[in-house]
Amino acid sequence: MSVLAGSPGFLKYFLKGDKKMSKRFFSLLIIIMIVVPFFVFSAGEKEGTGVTTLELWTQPNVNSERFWKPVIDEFNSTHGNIQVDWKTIPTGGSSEEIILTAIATGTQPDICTNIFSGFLAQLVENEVVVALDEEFPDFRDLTKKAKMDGLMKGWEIGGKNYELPMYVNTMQDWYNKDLLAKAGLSTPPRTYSEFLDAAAKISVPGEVFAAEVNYKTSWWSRWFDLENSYFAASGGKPYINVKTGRLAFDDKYGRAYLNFIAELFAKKYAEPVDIKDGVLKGSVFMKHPQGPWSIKGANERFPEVPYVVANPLVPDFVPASQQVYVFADTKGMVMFKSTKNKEAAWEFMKWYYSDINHIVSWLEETGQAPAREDLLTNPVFTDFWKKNPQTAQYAEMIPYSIPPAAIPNTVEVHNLINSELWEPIVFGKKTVDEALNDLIPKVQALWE
Amino acid sequence: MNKVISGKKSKIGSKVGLVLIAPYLVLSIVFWCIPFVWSFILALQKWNMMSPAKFVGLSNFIKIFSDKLFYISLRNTFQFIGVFIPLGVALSLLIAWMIYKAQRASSFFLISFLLPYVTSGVAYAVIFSRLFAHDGVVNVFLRGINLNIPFFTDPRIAMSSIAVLVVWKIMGYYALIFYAGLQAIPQSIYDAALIDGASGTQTFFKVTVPMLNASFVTILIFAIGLSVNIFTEPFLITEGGPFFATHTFVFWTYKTTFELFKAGQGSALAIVTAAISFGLVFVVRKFVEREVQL
Repeated sequence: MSVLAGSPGFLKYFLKGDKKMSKRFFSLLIIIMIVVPFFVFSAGEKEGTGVTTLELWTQPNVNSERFWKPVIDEFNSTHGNIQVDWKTIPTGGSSEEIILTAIATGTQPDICTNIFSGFLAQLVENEVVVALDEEFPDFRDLTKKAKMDGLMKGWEIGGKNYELPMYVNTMQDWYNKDLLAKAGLSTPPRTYSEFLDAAAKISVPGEVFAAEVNYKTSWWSRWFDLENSYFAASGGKPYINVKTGRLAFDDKYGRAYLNFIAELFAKKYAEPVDIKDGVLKGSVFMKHPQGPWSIKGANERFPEVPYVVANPLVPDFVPASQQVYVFADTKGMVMFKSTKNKEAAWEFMKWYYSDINHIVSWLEETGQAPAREDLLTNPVFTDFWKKNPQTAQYAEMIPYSIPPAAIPNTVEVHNLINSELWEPIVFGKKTVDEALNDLIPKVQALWE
Repeated sequence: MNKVISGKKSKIGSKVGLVLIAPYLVLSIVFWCIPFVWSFILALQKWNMMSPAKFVGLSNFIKIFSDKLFYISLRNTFQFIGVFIPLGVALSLLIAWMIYKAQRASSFFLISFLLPYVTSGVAYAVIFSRLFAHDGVVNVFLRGINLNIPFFTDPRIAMSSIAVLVVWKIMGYYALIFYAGLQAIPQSIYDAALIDGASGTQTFFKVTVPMLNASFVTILIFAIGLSVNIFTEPFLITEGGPFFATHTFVFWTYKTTFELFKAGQGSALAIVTAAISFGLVFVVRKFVEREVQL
């Protein structure tokens, strides 16, 4: 029986033919297999239809998705000539990793949100994002209209604005109400000594911890505890000289905080362990620190709200009158230089920021404070703050919040902070002095 | 005449074969051959995934071998192997032996033990990290007998704890391989051993174990590949810590490539990792593999 008996007709045609035909067939097959997926995956482009399609990537979380869907639907239904193809940043270890991979493969979107300043510095250094204030003459008009003009200085890199601020998450500590009462306090402690006094009263080794401190070493973790507390103690001094790489943690503010952390672990007021919902269930006195993104979930699971929000602790020598500054986890929206539709992309950005309803909706859906100067004064937000007093406490700190240092080697610096300073102190392997002496020259060496 | 027809058929047959494997060939070229060659090219370059790449020769490899993390990762890998392979092989052989001897409901037991293997690595890593946490079920139970074990936060035992978790996940799969090996051993050999007066223990060690050589070699090769490339558990449970106690080669490759954006060095690390894996597999084949004739 012929081997071709059961083969499709086209196979018989090619296989019975001469060698040239066979070669053509194989070449055609390979070309089809490479070219067809290309067209399938680039189906978003609508050449010749007069419609410009923009790709937008946003923060990958449920609340953010709930916010963006109606916003994009609204834009697409009111803009016949520009259509936004919206996606969340694809799943991965971090948004930065995914965006970088996309840049490397030339598949980055036109516009992307969720960009923090350190990563932006890298993007700027590699010239892949548009300097919005330079490119678009009406940039200042937009920032004024969106009540962001006064903030833009803090978002500059090399004197230019590459991103439009989206939200600012400040950092605070949470205290368990029952343990606060047990410690004989009506309000959370203000200084390290006040905290340690309370800790001595409520701690039960292995069962009730005075503090839950993050012992893990994701590179961004130290933004939220070490750098947040350094800002609180120092009145907002920068923790690193961005030109020389000199860290400031060996000054009196940094040392006071690091000694406090060392004492917490030495006295077993804190331990390097994972505790789920400790501050909500009453096995942890203070969760240090906590972002506003945890409020919604916590209040849903614990409707009695068993916690209070407070500013980070400060050293004893800091007077009560000194303003407390905190770290700000800031994220913004950028436009990639690779976009073929800069004007259309700018049109979308202007449309989004010009309508305050979008901003109110963002706050309501995500609980993350939009970056605006009138956040606490504009009546459109008042209702939300009344219903969400804990989130309001975070928002009140926005004028006193400082974003991460815009240095391109953010990850390397923080990896060193983790391995040379944080872990050795938390696990009691080095004194604060030894850890600082090891760390500071190593970070400076990154600048050489 | 017959020869001519037969030759023609054979040629047409090979063409049909080529057509049928063409999709696989194309996919292999695109997703395996090109990346494989590209990784060698990339390993000789400095590239942050944004700016143009720069040729740096062997400097990525020199950096790897002069970094203390290389020796830490190597130590951790051997610590993992030291717990994972003996425990994994012993438990999976025991399970296979018990199912083989039980004879009844063998499919049910095999599938039951295989279930963890098909469970998502991410899901089980998250669940186990909670179970073994300070306030997790295991430690709550242990505190009843005045014990509290910091499974993942004590640098001395963190890697071993991860190895035990992976044993739980993988032993059903290895047991399946052993079970197939046990079934392939002819009954006549056992009968001969019985006639010769061999005890049960003697039969197991002198007959069963040597006859399972092919299964042992297969499992050891799989286990080495898994050990050198362990990533999900250290990444999700311990983040490589504490004090780099669970820092592994693939974890390092990931951090270098996707956190520090040093794709060239990451590529060099991947090559070094593969070389270590191949080296260990070579050792296993050299010293463990034996020809067994049934």
